[in-house]
Amino acid sequence: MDFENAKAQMRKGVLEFCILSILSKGDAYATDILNKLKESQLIVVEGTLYPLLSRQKNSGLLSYRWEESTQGPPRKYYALTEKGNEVLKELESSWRELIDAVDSILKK
Amino acid sequence: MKKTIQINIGGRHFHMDEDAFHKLNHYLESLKAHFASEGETGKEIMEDIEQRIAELLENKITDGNQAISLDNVNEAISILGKIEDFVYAGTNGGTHDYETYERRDSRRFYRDEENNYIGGVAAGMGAYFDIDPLWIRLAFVALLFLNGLGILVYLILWIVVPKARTTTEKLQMRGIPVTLTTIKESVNAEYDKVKAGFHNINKSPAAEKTRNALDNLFRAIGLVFLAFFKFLIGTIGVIFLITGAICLAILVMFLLGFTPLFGNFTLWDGIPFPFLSQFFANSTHYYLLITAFVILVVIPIIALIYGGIKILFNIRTKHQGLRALLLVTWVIALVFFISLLAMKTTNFASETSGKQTTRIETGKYPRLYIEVRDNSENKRITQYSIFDHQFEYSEYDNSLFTQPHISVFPSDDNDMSVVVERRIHNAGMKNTQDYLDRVNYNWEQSDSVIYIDKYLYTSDKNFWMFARLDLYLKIPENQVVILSDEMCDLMNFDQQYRYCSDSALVGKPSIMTADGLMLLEKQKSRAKKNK
Repeated sequence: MDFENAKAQMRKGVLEFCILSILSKGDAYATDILNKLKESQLIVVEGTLYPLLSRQKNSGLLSYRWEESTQGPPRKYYALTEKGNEVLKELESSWRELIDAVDSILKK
Repeated sequence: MKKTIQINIGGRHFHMDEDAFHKLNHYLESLKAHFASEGETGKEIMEDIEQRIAELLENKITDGNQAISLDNVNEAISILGKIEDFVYAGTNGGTHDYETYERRDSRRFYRDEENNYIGGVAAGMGAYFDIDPLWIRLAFVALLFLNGLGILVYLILWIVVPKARTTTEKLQMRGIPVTLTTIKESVNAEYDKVKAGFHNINKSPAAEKTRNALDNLFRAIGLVFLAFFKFLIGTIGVIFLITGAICLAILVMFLLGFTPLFGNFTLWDGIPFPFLSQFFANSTHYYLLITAFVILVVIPIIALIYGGIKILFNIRTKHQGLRALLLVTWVIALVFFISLLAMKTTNFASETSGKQTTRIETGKYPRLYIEVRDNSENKRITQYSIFDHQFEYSEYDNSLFTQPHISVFPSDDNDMSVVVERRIHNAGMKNTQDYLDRVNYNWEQSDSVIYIDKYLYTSDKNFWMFARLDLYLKIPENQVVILSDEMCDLMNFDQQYRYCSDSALVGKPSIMTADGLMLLEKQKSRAKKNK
């Protein structure tokens, strides 16, 4: 009955992980991140992203800089920090573990 | 032409329709209020969001479309999502925050349109009570056989209960299962808190600890009060709901039985009380009045049930439009009801009458006999009175019998005339003759005998006409008449006194003079004296 809750919890955990991995492939501004997340259908509404970004920034995983844009006002580019990189590696390994664990259960 | 407003958002300039601006402003204000608790971070989040909105809106500007419309804003908002949508994701906190959120807002009743058959009421209820919606559907079907009450309840719930739109609402719909176990758990938890409060007082001599304990105690008392208050509110909700349901059931029975008010009630001696519908000469008026009455009663009942459901299921929606509509309908019904009733009353107060005069040649009869014919014979008749009005009721043919008022006068000329004057109430303006004809009264001449009916009668459907009949017998002077004894009961008070008391002339030959009837013997002796 209560899978709506479980789904929300699962998605939220994965979302933070995905933001970090998107940024590990290069600095990006919010709209870039959004487009990638939306492509993979990880988020439905964009508003979800901004509080997450600022929380990750506050806990030192991300940093940002302002960059001039050819169109419109300057953009806020996010980048992964040292700490962010470490956390990402940890998350990656636990993600693998998790997948293996779930797979092994599902195959049984 | 539309007024546009210039705004600056995310470092960009826009021209925006006024309605679009208000919508966007409202949206941003609600976000700001939500993130306000996070201080600097909140401000940063807002800046980012504004930036994104600016980007989204910018894409909408083309050569042909320079101003941002309401549709553009709505689209941007739906892309970013409503505040509820990103609250659920718990992004401003971890799993922990999410749990407290869920605990704080216990589950609410929403319509579940994802698992619906009709409006999702049963599915939502199932989610609320944590039972299979099938049982609720079965219950609705069962209620269907109870005068179709099920349909009405379902419709009301459909209107009143909002549907779960956002994920937050869907989660709230399920929430923590409200079962006996969880109720017990929460009560136990409260109890433990209270106990802990007392415990602390006993065991801690240190001043600070006492203060802590007092603090705990007050908090515990507060919790007890809160629980009590919640219980009270819940009880009020239940009372509202039950009262509403009972009223509704009575009304439905009343309507389906279509027993007009007061009808089918027996007064005494098994006489049915007159139907209210008979009060109305015009049935349209009757149905209008009943409709107005039903609306007058139904709307408060709906309000009661609505209020009860809202309290019980912790629904916090406002149907402003619906509320206004119901209020206006109620007032209109009230106006109709009062004006119809007022019209009826004036109608009722007015009296209609009609006279029928018949001439009879009596010259050839030396003696005229006036007999009373009992037209109520063989009919079981019971007497009763309503509003000081005496009636005789015949179960045999469901009619009302009333005695006429008879008076005997000298005629203006040499012929006898019989005048029947009918008076009725409540006939309305039109077709008065038609209503007058509903008062049945007959008399008959057979040679020298005139038979007059003892009763006038109307069908009991015409109860509210309060028919009255005067019979004037105009007899030419010097005509000899013999009145039967039975006439005394029917005569006017003064005539009764004159003709039926001591020197009774009834049953004896009497002669009509300019002053009225006189015993023939008396008149003869007086004539002799005069000679």
